[in-house]
Amino acid sequence: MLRRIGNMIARDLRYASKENILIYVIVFPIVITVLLSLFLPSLEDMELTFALDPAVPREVAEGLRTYGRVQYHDGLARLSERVLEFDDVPGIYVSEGKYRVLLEGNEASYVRELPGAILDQLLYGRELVEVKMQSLGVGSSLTREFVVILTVLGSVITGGLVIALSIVEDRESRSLQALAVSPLNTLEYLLAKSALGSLIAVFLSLASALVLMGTAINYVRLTAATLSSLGIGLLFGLLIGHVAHNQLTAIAAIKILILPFTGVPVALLFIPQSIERMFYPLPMYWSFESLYRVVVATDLPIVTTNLLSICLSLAMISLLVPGLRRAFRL
Amino acid sequence: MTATRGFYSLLKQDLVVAQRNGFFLVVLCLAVIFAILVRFVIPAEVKVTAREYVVDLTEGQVISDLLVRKGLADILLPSEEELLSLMQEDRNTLGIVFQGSREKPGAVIHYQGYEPKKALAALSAAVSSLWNEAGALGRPSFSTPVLLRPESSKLPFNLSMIPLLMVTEVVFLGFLFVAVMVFQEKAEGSIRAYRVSPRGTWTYILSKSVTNVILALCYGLLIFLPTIGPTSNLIAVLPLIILASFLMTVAGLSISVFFDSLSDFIYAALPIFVLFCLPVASYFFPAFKMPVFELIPSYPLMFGIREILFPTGKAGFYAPMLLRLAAESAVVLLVAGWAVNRNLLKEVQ
Repeated sequence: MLRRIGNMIARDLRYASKENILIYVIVFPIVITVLLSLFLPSLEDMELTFALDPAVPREVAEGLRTYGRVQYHDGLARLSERVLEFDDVPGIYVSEGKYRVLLEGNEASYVRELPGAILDQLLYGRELVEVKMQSLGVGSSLTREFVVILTVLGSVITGGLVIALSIVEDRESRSLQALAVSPLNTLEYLLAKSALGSLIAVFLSLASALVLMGTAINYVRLTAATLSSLGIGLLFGLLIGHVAHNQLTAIAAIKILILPFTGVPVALLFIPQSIERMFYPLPMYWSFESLYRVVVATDLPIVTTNLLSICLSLAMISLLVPGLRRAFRL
Repeated sequence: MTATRGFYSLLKQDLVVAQRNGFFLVVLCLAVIFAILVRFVIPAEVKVTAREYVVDLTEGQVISDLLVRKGLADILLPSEEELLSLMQEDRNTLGIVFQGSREKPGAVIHYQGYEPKKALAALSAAVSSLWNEAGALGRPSFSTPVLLRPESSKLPFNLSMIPLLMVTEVVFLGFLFVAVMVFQEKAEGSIRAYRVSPRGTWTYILSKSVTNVILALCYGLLIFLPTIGPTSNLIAVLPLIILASFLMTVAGLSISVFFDSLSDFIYAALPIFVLFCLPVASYFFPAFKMPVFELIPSYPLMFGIREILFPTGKAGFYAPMLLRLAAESAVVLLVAGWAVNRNLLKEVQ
């Protein structure tokens, strides 16, 4: 049995290397992660931008730099033009000796209110309120952590995509019919197909965590959480492999199935905790929870969440297996 | 005349292939799912920026009175301990403890530790401003707001997702589907038959593009109608969708012809999709914009569609946006012409 599975994996590896799939599947997701790592610092250090008329005194402009970025636009017409752009940038100019905060009217509430409050603070000349600052000592924002969680889950789905496209390739090229006369059975075939996708998923998730978080993460716990999430990628891949007979139907299936698989983790970022119970029967929820404990709530155990993720995805896969047996006829 | 007839017959053929391969069914399924999500699942109120909580320990509880008057009673917490415990549980929160009296006003800002210094400085200014207003501390206002147009009301979060769906789903659809069509024709060998037919490169590109534009229009309308209904603003959105979908389809065509199979192309399409989606950050945090966003077509498009569907009075953006899309489409069309001719139609000679 092991030899048959090994032969099948070797065949897939040969095909993937010959067709450059291995390069694409590894290089492009890493390109995405690098792209995100370049983008994240700007998002984490998000600051207000003030569009200033050059007539605003230099000391006020310098003071405004303590609160955000300063840009100059010569004259009211140019200032208005800048304020009217799609992003929320307030303009500041001086008219009849008074400061004016130029707004478009559709800005977020904090962009409407802060420029006035900042100008008052700067121009009053003395401290009105004694404000003390106390930090809880948290080193990084949740943005980066959530991007890591989504990237790891994305890696698992990418592994699933490899499995799906490999099965579809076998179906389209009629390799399945050739395999039907070999001693390989459905379970062995599925195990072999899952191996390469799973390896890629683990590699990509560790690589992306390394790019985004460096050493600020426990890689043993991350590996455990990724391994327990592999069932999700497998489920994704097998579902597509089951319904798609060719690449066209595979794309159609991917387009629809990617929604629940990626939508659940994204929804978990926004929904209130009271609604989270709705997602308990889904393995995606428990994988997300495991990864959250690896990346954010690092003092919480991950054994239960990992087990729930494994069990639920295996339960769902086992429901698929009879259908796959009928479809593959191995 | 012959060229027109050739185009129509190829378009008909492409539409039949799209229908036979379930593209219209996929579009229908996705539209139904998104319409349900927008109407019934995604809440109208979601705060994506950090949540601020306030504890009022001031003499006479002046801050609480003001916050209640402003309709912000829900951010008030009874004690500093509760505030700190909530902050420890949820890292996306900030806490302000107002204390002291009108004679000696004070406040403590509890922050997580990762917040940028400039954001904390701005928060400190807002705290002083709130104290000034609540306690009538007498600091004069040094500035006057000037609105370029009337203040607009806040758009419900669920409805604000529609412009995003238009850009990331509807417009991007053609990028993927056109590649699928190309690889199918390559696999079936029908591209060989096409090469010896009198129809040229442009007929091929236009037929694929129009097919995908039709699909995008169906997809867009199927999302619009059950979520916002048949409003007159819809007519203004359609040309944007047509042009943007055309642009993404020819872009997909230009890139896909360099790949041997869909399995290869799909991984290359992922970074392009991520790049296309990066400006979504600006959509959720409007004070944030990277200069590179201006170069990505999705950036103006999502704001433009939002402005058309949920107008706030912005003017003068529509025609430049259409012109920009038309110019981008023309450039990418030329690239597609070259790429299709070189890599797809010549390859089989």
